[in-house]
Amino acid sequence: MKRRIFIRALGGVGLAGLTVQAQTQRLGVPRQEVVLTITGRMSHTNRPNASVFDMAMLEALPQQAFTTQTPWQKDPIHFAGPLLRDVLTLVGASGTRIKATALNDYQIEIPVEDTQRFDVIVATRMNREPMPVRTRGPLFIVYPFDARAELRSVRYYERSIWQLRALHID
Amino acid sequence: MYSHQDNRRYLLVLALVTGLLGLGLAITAVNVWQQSRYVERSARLQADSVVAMTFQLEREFLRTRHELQLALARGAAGDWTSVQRRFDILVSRIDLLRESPTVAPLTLTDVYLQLWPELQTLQEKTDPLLVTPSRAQTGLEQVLARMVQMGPQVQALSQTANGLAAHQMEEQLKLATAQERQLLWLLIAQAGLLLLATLGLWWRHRNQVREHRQLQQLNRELARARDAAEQADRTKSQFLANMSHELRTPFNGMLGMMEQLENGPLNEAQRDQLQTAQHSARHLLNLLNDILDLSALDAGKLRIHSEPVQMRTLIHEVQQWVQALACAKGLTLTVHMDRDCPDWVLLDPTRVRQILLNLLSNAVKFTAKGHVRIDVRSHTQDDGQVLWTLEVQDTGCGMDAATLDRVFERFVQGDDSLTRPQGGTGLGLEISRTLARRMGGDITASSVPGQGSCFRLVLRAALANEPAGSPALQPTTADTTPPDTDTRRWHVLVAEDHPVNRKVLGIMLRNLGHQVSFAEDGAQALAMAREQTFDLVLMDIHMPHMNGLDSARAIRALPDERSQVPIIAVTADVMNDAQSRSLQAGMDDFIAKPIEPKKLAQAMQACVSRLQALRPHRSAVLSGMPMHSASA
Repeated sequence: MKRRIFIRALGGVGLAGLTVQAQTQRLGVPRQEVVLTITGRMSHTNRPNASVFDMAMLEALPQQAFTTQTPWQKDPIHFAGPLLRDVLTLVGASGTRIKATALNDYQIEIPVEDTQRFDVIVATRMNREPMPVRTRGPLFIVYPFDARAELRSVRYYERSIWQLRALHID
Repeated sequence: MYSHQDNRRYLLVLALVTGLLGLGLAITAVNVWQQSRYVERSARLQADSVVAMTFQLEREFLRTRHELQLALARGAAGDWTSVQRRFDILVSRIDLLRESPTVAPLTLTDVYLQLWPELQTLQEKTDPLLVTPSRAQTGLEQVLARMVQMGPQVQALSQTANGLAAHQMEEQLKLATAQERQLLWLLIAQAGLLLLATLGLWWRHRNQVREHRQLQQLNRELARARDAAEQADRTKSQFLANMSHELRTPFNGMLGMMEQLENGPLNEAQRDQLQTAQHSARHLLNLLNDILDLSALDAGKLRIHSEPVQMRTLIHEVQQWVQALACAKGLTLTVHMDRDCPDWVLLDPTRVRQILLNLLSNAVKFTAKGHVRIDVRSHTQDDGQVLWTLEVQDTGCGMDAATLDRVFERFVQGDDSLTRPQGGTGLGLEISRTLARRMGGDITASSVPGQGSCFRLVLRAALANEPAGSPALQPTTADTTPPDTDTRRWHVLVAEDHPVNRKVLGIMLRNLGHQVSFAEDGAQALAMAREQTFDLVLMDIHMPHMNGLDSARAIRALPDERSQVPIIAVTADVMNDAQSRSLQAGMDDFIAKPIEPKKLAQAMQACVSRLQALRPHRSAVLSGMPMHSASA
């Protein structure tokens, strides 16, 4: 009886070790400056209790692009980057709310539902150029405002967070 | 009074107006609601964003200044990466202030216009220093000093934005209030219009109800008038039928008795007086017939019964009748008929005979010397119809154009001076032409005064096959042989309620050599026909107790051979349906009163011989009777 428990515990430890390794393989490891840190309820991590991304890791994901009018500039802007839901899937996120934080400590809550209903992207490029901090980079969560009328409202404008630094999944 | 279309258009317009008003009200209400929401939302958005933008700028300005101060205090060991990051964020905020459309109203303020170039200069001066911050301590000290100086300006910008937002909000509220007031007036106007429309509808409805009531009243009055008119018309028709009957009955007696007188011993003077009396009576009868025909035509009761007719025979027959008249006046009467004219056609022989007789008698009447000539031509059309043209030409007195124009009019008789010697009702030509037209033809006339007239009768008729045994025209052949020599003694039942008529018929039949039994009404006739075998029944239609029609029907319903006895209807009622009703009742023929012996003999013979031909099984009953030789 005791022996069986012991074996099971041993197997459990081994399995856990293997899982961490598999997860790391799946996510990859940042080789450059970390631009995005994800914490909270998720199944895959590549740091203790966190998943971190450099720009290359984000650009390796399937890219989505669209041009849209925004309240912040007169001309339409072309945005490109991975879908937010792809990023969430990659880390195995299991929450319902995302708390997004910007470099200037701006925080906003985004319902996970938004990522399913709309093609919300984590833009890495603006008008086909990488975004420095001065042009509200390096990451910018953008809703496809022009695709749906309901998106052209304060609610979604304020969820479009620039200079994105971190996501926390609740 | 509104027409139906008017009414519909009115209701449509009304419905449209009401609908539009309702829609307008709904739209207005929705608009008001949406507008207030929009004003509220947009005011909040703009205020928030302008205020937030300047607030964020101020915040980043202060954080950068603080970071720079800290780093400068620690010299080369300071966190210069953090300073650089802070400065980048500040620059992004400065750029936003320039680019963002929501900040546009702010860019027009003095505070902004003063601060903006300074921020620009600060950025240009700081950027190169931050590339190697550890070696640019002095420059960065100056930057810090500048930023400290700029502090109040940056805060002033935030305050300006705040004031601007508040002002904008106020403006929008004012605008919204004005719009709401306008909308309110619009609503009041619409409500007023709606009320007016409803009032209009109510008013119209009231009018319509009143008019409807008037219309119903009028309708009732019209119905009463129509009923009265119909009643009067029926009374008139009934009167006509009665008169027809009542006049013919004494005629029957008068003509019959004069006929009998003529056969008795008379001296020359008496015979002449009698003939004049007879002549007058016949003339009177003709007048009566014309008037009755005209009444029937006017009432639309006169019907055309087409049957196969041999035109050649028919024309010959009419010629025979008029011949005597012509001879008496010393006129020649000739008929010229094309050889290729078809033999049998479908026509109403009675009516054609009537028209021809009228035209021919007129021609003879108005011709003092010379001749009357009939030209008959026919033309078969593509559709198989035969177009007959019968021209009656005379060498009489003729007519001038004015008379010719009016000759077909009712009661018109040529020239007044001519009226006296010629006599007549003046109805003949009108009747003839109406009849011709009813048969799809016409009558036209041309005339030269003093030289003669020409009346042209055109008839349209379909080709017909010769009927088997051709009984319809048998009387014409019978006409050639005197009937009294052909007919043996028959036993004839006379059903007649009027004693004079019974007497006349009895004398006529006995003179023709027949044996006569009398019945005074239909019931008696039926009883006698059941008990005895008769060769022929002469049945008056109008009789008390049981009329002739019912009696004939009852005889036809008898179980034995006696039900097949030939029955001839005798009546003074010559309106058209009397004939058809008697045929429907199962009778074989129809004779109109007054009865002349010759006509009676012809009808009797025709009837019996036709029955023999059509019902060969009856020969068993008739074979023992002498009359069967009549079919020879």
